[in-house]
Amino acid sequence: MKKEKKVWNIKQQDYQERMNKASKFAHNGKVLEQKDVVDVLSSIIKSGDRVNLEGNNQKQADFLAACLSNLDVNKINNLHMVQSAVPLPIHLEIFEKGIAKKLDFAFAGPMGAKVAEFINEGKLELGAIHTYLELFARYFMDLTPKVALVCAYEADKDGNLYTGFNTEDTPVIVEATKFTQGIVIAQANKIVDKVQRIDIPGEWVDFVVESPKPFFLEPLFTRDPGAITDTQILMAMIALKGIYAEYNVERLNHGLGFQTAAIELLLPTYGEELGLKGRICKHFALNPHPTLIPAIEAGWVESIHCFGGELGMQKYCEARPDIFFIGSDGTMRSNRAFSQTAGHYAIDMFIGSTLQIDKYGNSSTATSNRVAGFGGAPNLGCDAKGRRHSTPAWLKCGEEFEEQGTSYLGNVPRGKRLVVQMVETFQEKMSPSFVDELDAWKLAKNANLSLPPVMIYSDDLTHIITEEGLVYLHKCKGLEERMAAIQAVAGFTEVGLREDPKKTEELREKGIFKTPEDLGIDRRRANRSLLAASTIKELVDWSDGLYEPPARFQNW
Amino acid sequence: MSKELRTIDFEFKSADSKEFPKISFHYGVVGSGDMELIYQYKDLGGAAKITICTPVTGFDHVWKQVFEKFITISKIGNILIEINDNNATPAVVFLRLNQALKEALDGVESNNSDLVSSSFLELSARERAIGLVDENSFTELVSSYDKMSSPHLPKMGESIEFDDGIVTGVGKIGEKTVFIISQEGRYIGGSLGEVSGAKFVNILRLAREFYESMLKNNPNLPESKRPAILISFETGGVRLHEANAGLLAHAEIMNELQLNRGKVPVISIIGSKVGCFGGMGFIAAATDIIIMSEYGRLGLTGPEVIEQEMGKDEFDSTDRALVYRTTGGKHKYIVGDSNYLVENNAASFREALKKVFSLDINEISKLRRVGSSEMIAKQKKLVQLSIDLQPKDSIDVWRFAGNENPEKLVDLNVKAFLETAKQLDIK
Repeated sequence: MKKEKKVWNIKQQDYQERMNKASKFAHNGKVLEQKDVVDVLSSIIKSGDRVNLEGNNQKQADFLAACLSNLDVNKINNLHMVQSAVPLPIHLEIFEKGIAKKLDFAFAGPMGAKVAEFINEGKLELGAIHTYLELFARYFMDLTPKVALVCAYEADKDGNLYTGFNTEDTPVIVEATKFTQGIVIAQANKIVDKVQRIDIPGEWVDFVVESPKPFFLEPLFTRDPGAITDTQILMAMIALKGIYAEYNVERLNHGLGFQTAAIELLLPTYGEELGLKGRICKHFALNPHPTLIPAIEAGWVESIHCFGGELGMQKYCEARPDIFFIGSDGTMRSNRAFSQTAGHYAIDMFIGSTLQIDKYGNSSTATSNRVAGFGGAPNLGCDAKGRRHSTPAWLKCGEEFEEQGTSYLGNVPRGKRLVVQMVETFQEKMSPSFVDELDAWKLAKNANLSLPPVMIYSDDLTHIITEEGLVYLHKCKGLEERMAAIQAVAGFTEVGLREDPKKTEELREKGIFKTPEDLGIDRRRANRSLLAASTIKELVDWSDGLYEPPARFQNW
Repeated sequence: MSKELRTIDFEFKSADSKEFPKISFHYGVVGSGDMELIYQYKDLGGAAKITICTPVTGFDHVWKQVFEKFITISKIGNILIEINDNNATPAVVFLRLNQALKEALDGVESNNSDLVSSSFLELSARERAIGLVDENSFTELVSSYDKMSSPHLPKMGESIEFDDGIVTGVGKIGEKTVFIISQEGRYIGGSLGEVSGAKFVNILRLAREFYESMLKNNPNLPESKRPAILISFETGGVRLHEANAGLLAHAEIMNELQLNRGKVPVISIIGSKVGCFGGMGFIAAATDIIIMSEYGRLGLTGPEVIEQEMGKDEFDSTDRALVYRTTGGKHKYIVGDSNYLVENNAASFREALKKVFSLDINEISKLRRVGSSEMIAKQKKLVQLSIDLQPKDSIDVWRFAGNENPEKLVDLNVKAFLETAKQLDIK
């Protein structure tokens, strides 16, 4: 065998070459003028480059996105965008203009319909839809960015960044880019003499620029208690009695819907009454949900690690350093990669909501013409196969798992994550939550996807809660019994109308299906007076005025 | 395309049916995605008869399944079930049927103390009427059981409610007889139509006639026995679907307010979700006393309409905090539109009422906003002030009234606010 004669530092040379063209724009260390950013991008980006434009679940590098969209498409085109989220119109404009061609992402949110349309029209070539953690993994494997455009609260002339409360994805992006000789540019709300904490060291950042206005931040996790319905409260009561209490769920993640908000607001009232304080809900991987304030204040929660921040919750989090992850400067630091890792390996339960569940128990938030993406839910709503440590909740669910014994494990015990879906049988406009076939199949066809995008696969799902009651799917033997159990909670949807009352009775006897009455829940109590806070203002009061809700949520 | 409201009928019989008690029982509010029902005993040979009035089409088979299941499980028989629906999902229907049956069978515990202490903002019109007066003293007049609903809405395919969105009746606070009007914001925004308007007007008239006949029997009627009228507002004003009748009702109400002056004090209670807007804002302004909670809102033109007509620079209706700050109880208290600012519960409203009831009718009429040349002169000065001051925000007015850190007032609780806030002093 012959050793190849090869240059081993092409990437370093390339970096130098690009930086030589751009460095003249920097003044005062690494600081750029706003007006020069388009020229800088033109100097450092080449057609076909892989570019990461920081678009997170919440914070958005919106100024740099606008600059990127102003590049001359004749000189720079066919970029391959790798980014967590594409929720802003400007993200799609970059494709519309032809500056970018290919996209690998995790979440499209409000731009889901546009993404599907662009795929159809050939304006956008889809790499794959990922989960956050999966996409981060590929940043270190085959999707390393050449250029990363990130955002921060503060930057100094040496490039040090303070990303603080909304650190989110920045560390992962910068590390993957910088250590493969890529170029990192950060927009900051403010250029300061000294950042209040170094979240990203200056050596890892090439340029910084003060943005014309603070980066866009979406209050994704704020649910107004005023909009919680009696049905959602009934379902929250079912969850607390039938799952939290039964499994002593200590470590968990909550989805962002009204159902889980109702659970949070029932902890200090109904949960207290059930004697669950100190037994459940001690550790969360969770954005700082305002609706969790009463439970925190009532002493339920020991720790919360956050994927990102939440508008208005900063002061509150800082004032509760025993609960949240707070730096020596006194402000919180979120980190999506670590929180997702915690959510994948260290929680005993994921509980959330979805749009559709099929007759087998697969669920999806996809509709036939929206590529909404996955975000983080699949990593939380699955059984982590690499998990080796045990907790009582995880062990109990594993013991109950009917199929465990019939698998290849023989007599070896194994635990199982509790994965719970809470849905009302009908959603807005009478659209049924239980369907024969997920709309994800139609989407796969419409958008040329290789797979129907499934959020949570049936083999990971252990429980479904509807207003009809609760089913313990993992206790079912075989697909047929599982489908009967799903029919039992599917109410008056097409799937539910196929229910065989005799089979449902059998499932009740086996303890696989429980109605609210089976659980000893009085339906009359399912009303809003059971909520620890029934308005945003009451959340502010619980927080001693520390929670500062965005104006759109204020009614005083 | 508008479709007419339709009725669906079903009849079911459970093999071993249990008889419904010999009562009538009303439950629920026809809010969006919600429904109301009346259970009534009727000898149907053990069967249950159901009539649903709904705008929904194409789901008759689902309704049938819902009731079949409800009757099979509950085994209830000899019962007439009448439902007014407004797009409730089957899940909500099933929940309401069961909640109502449990309450009907077990009897509602007398929970006046709960009503009095819980969030006023959350209370339905009926709960507010019951909670504002002494326990067990409320008698409803023209109630849901009388089924006086709108004759116009069914043709337009709009859901109806048995009480047409307004609760009227009479109760006691101490020695005093109080006549009550309470509007339901969840039903078409608490709007005033022909039937609800007639109920409103006639309670005002009834109160006046009651007082006049009391006076006839006892010319030296003590002040403590003088009746009063409470109006718990939750409304956007005229119901556009029957606007002529609604506007006419507004005029008749104004007339009755004039006729009641110096006889029966009329007190506005404002602390519900929708607030008090449109033509009803005029009505409230023309009453003797206004009591608001910090969540109460009072105004004429709604925020969206102001923005539409005058532009976002004039008033940004999407800025909820701004909207509440400029129409809310705290602002109305500072500028003197509201006489009392109270905590968000019926007990606090009752406390304020007791203060009002300790005044005689002459003292009460001094607390009005309009009704004398001095009061009109004062209102004119207020108008001039708004021209001179050109406030961009209620906070500018608060500062002018002498509040040094007006921004701080926004988040203060009611007690601290009342200790701190200075009211606008216009002589």
